[in-house]
Amino acid sequence: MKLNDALIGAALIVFSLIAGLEARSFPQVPGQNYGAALFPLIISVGLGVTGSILVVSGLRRWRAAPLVDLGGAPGRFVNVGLVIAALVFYVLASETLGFIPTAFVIVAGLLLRLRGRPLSSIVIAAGTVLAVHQAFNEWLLVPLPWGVLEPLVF
Amino acid sequence: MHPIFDALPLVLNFEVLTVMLAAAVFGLLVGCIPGLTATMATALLVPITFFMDPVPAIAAMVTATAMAIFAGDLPGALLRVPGTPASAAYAAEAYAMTRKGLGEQALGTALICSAIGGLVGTTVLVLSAPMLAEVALQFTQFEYFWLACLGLTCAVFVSTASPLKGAVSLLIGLFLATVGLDVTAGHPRYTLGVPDLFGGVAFIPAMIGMFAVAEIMRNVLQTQDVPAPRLQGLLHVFRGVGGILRRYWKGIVRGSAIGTGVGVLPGAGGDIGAWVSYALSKRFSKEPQKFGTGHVEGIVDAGASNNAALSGAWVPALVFGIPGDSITAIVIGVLYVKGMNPGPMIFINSPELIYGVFVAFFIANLALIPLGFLAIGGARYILRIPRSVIWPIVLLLSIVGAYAIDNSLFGVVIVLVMGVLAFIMEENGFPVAPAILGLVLGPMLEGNFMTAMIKADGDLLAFFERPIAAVLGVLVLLVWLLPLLSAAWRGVAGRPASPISSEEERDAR
Repeated sequence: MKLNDALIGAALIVFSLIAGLEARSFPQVPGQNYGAALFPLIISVGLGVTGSILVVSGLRRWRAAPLVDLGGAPGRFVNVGLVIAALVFYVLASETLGFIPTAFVIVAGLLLRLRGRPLSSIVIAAGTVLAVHQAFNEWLLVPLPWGVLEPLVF
Repeated sequence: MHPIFDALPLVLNFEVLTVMLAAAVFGLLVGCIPGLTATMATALLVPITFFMDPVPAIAAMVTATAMAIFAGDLPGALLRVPGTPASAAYAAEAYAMTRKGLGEQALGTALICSAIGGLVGTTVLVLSAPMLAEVALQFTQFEYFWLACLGLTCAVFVSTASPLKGAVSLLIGLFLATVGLDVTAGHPRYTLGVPDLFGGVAFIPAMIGMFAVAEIMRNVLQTQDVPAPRLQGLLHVFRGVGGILRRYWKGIVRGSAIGTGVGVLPGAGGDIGAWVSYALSKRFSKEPQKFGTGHVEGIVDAGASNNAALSGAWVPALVFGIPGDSITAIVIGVLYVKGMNPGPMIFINSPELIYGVFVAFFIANLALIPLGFLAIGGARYILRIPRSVIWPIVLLLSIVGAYAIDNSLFGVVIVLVMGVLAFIMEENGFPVAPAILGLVLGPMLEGNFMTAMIKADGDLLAFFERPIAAVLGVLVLLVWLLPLLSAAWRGVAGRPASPISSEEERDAR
């Protein structure tokens, strides 16, 4: 997904303005010339300047490079969206559903999408999730949430 | 007694050697699978090594990366698809050799040259790091401030074709480093009121996001699997390699030296070392016309170079806490989390740890020869694993790894945000390495500046008062001003600033 440099530059300028304005509210330490705001301000200025250069160079190539170049069929990004959705799903569901069901849904779902073959995908997903659970929960003592499986375990 | 003798039993015991063997197998697998990089291997190892003692933890990372960089050559030679970016420079050449029936020879040469390059880089590391640490003991905040500046500047110029995009990436990294309570007054900056951000952007989840999840996103864009290679048994791996090494010994020396040097430079690692070495090998070759047709000479140089760079990157990392590449950036982050701040004091306080790293490097590069040999034999089978199976598994490991660091779901949120950020950056030609360096060096840059200014009572000229600081400072300013001066000079001379800009003018018309 190639964005025109001007678009990225504009985003950087907006971001630098927000970050810079926020930095001005950081308090000064009395008796010192340099405080919490110094580095954020320098970085904001840097982002603003580099963003402006990107806008200029992007506008020069305006005709050659479209605003957004997907570089192929937009359908390809469904997979990327699914990866993002999987992470969001984990954050939202793992505490209540538990690690094993959540991870199984994620791995099995992605396998089905990427390669089809339902039976082997489900077997691979189950094996992976149980192996990862064993390694992290039992050997590395990471308290992965049990969720709905809790009554079965304890 | 020399501390290296204290270090030997720390490494040469059953536990550490077992960890190293497991890490080696992991590294060979990761390197061999296209799309999984040596940096990703390190990022995925972190959550596991997090629970180990320092020596086995670092030995595991050293071993896994050395193996992964060589293993990247396997799919390069067999499928023309580099397994890691460090093999990209000569994947086409190695594949051309395979098509001529010389695939075994290409891989055998790459294996031996990798081991030699790694050993040369390690020797340089062992000899130079303690000496540099003696010098670094004299350094104060003023020198460290300039060193951090030099490292960051270097990252912008060497990591990418476009210094502008490198600079943007660096600024993004530096910005992310400012998130959290600030060093002087403890004021929360850019935390959005989220308590999890008060300590800053958690480093390990950020690495996992930028190197593992972004890579997954990039790879699931193409759903087609790489075709499985049809190969005969690779049994005669070392046939003819002795003659090649004798014939091109200068290439090994050159590749190892360049690789080590590039590795030391912050922001540049094995991939850039291999490109530079391949190009120089061609330039100095007696038969440059053979390059690209399945000629082994460039593989000698570049194969030695990328493994040498791996060791070279540890020099600035251990001595100054400035990472030489993305892998050592992760290692430094881990050392900080473990409360062992890299820098010259670590050479005095825990020399056995430093020498343990050195011993691990030697063992890893020596073990590369037998294990690499086995990997060449097994490559056919590893490469048959469909890649579509790999991505969901790596994603799950990324999630659990980020969660395991402090048992907090916020780590997974950071993985997500940083993964999307790195994906968008790389898709648009912004290199990720400078951002990582900014994230690691940001606190060092700001912390040293603030302490120095408190010491000097706000007098900026103090940054030039100590001799080494003055030299470093002038050097940094020169590097910053040179591009501007040369642009101004070209402007005065009335020539176009660069071929690209004249092309752009044509486009505009």
